[in-house]
Amino acid sequence: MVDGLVAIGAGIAVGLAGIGSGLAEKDIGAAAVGAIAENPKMFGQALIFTVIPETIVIFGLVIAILLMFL
Amino acid sequence: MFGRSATAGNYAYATTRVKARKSFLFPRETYMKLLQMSVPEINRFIGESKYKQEIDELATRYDGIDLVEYALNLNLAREMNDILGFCQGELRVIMWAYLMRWDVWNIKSLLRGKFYNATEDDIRETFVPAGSISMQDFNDLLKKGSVPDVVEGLSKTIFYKPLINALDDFNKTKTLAPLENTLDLVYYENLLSIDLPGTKADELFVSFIRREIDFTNLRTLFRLKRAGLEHEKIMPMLIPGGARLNMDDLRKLAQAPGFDDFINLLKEYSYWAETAEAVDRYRQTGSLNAVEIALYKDQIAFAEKISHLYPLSICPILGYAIRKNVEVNNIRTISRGKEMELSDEVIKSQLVI
Repeated sequence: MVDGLVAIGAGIAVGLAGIGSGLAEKDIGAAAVGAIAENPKMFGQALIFTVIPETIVIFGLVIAILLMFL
Repeated sequence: MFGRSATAGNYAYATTRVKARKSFLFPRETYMKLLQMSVPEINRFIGESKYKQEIDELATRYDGIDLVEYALNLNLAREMNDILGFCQGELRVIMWAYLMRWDVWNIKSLLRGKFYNATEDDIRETFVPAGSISMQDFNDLLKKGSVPDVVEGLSKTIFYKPLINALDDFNKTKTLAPLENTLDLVYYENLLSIDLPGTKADELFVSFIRREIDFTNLRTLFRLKRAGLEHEKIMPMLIPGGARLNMDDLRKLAQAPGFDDFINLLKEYSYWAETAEAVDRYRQTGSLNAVEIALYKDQIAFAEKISHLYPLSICPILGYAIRKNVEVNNIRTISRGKEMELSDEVIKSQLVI
C-alpha cells in the first residue's frame, strides 16, 4: 500500500514538473525559432535559453528518485 | 494559462521576429549620412543594405529617383506581407485589418490617378501592395477607365458598398473627398469592430487607433480651417471614434469662425500640449507641415512606448510596422529632396527622426 502511494507521489512529482517545463518552454521555444529564422547565428544562444526550463523537470526527477530509493 | 486557444495567436514567435527586424532599421546617424549623398549614391547605399534584393531586381528597369521609389515600396510591401505571413490566429486577424490601410492608400492613389488622368505607370509607382488586395488585382483595376469603373471593380472588398453609396456625392460635387472619406471611415470602422480578447495590450492597441483618428481629424481641421471652409462642409470629412475628441468637440472646433479662433479654441483641449510648439512654428513659416509632423511624431512616440509595455502582444508588431514605414518615408523624403535640390535644412525639417 505504502509502496504504491510512494510510486504515485514520484509519478506526480515528475509529471507536474514536466507540465511546468512544457508551459515554460512553449513560448521560449517559439521565440527561439523566431530568432533563428531571422538570424541563424542565434542558434546556440536560442538552444541554451530553450533548455533552461528543463531544470524544473530535473528537480521533479530528483524528488521522485528520493521518494523511490530512500 | 490554459485558456489561450489555438486561435490566440503566436505572440512569442511573431514578436521575436519583429524585434530582430527592428534591430536592422536605420539609426538616426544613417539619415545624416544619406543627407550628404546624391540620388545615385543613395541608390548605391541602400543597394548594399537590406534593400539590396529590391534594388537588384529593379535596377535593370528603373534608375535614379524612380528606382528608389519602387524599391522602397516593394521592400515595404514585402516586409508587411512577411509579418502577415508569420502571424497566426487573432494576431493575424488584427494585422490583416491594420494593414488594410495600404488598401486604402492604394485605392486613393488609383482614384486620384484616374480622376486626374494620370498614366498607368505614374499610378503604379505609388502602389504599396501590402494590404489585402493583391498587386494583380490593382493591375486589373488600373485598366479601368474612370472613377466609377474603379469602384465597380472593388466589388469583392469591404469598401464596395460604402463607395457605391458615396458615388452620388462624388457625381454631385465632382471631387474625390466623399470617396476618400468613405474609405477612411470604412477602414477605421472595420479596425475598431474586431473582437479582441480585451487584454491590457489590446486596450492600448485600440487607444492607439483612436488617437490616430483624433490626429487625422485634427490634421483635417487644421487644413480646412486654414482654407476657410464652413463647418457644414468640414463635418462629413471627420471620422467618429476618436480617443479624446468626440463628434461634439469636433463640431465646436469646426464651428470656430476663423483660423485664429480655431487655434484659441484648441487650447481648451488636451492635444494643445502636443501641437502648441508646432503652431508657433506655423505662425513663423506659414506652413502647416510643422503641425502635421508634430502630430505624426507624437503618434509614433506613443506606438514606441506601448511596444515596450507588453512584449507578448500586438503592440511590438504594431510598433515595428510603424517604424518601418517611417524609415521608408524618411529615405523617400531625402531622395526626393536631393532630386529637387532642396537644402539639407529643409529636408531635415521634413524627416521624422
